[in-house]
Amino acid sequence: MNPGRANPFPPLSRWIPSRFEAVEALALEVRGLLATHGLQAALFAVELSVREGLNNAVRHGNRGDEAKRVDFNLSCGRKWICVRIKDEGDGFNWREKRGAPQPDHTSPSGRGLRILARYASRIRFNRSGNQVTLWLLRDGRSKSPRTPAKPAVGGANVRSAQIRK
Amino acid sequence: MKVNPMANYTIVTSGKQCRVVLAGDLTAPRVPELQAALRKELVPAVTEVIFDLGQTATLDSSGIGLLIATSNSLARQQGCIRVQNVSPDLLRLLQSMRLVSRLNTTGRTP
Repeated sequence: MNPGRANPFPPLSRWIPSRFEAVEALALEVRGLLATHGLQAALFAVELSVREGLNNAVRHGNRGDEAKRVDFNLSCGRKWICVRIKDEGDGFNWREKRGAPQPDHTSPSGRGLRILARYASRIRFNRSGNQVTLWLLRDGRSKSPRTPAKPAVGGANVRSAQIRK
Repeated sequence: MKVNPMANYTIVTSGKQCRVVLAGDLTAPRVPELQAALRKELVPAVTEVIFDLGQTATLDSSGIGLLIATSNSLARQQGCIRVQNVSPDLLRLLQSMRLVSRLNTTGRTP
């Protein structure tokens, strides 16, 4: 398998019910897919980002309502791996999260978005905040956010959100 | 000794020390059961909890939350947590969250 190929595998599209067990199964599927196609360098960052994005969608977006689903899409280009996650919730005001300080070291929560910001080179939310798109480098490095040459997904209603690393 | 093959963990408590050995990832679906099991172990006599992550590839924010909650509980009884045998990826993650010293973290020996 040539790790430099632009599209080593076709886009992976799934939907899951709002359960953490379903998140686990999908994260393991992503792990297997990346490993099979020689993308070990990006595996940790992508899998963890997928988990955090899906967990947020289940916990905060759909509030654990199993009747609501989470849509997931992962695609791979020559340089970038792109992950898009959309829930059926009302969204949230991601603008308030920009530049938010690190949680206190005794706080057991509040690190999901920070982990996404740690590993994704770019994060975009849609206007309402119920869809997030992440770009991660295929070589596994984290990098200062900048516009990927050709984003795989996006849209007119999408705005950028940069969260302090 | 408590072994839960479904949740992939083993808890051994001896005197003041409780040792938790994970045989897999520490992620959101596994946290509630492990947290409940730990609550039963954290009697006042226990002042040190050691998490062995030697076989753990991934730790998400829920897993980190469990480690911090355990650390907080132990601090109230003048105890401490130790997180051992973490992979280089997990060590970098905890470094970026500024939790290495808080959790008394040590990496895997090569």
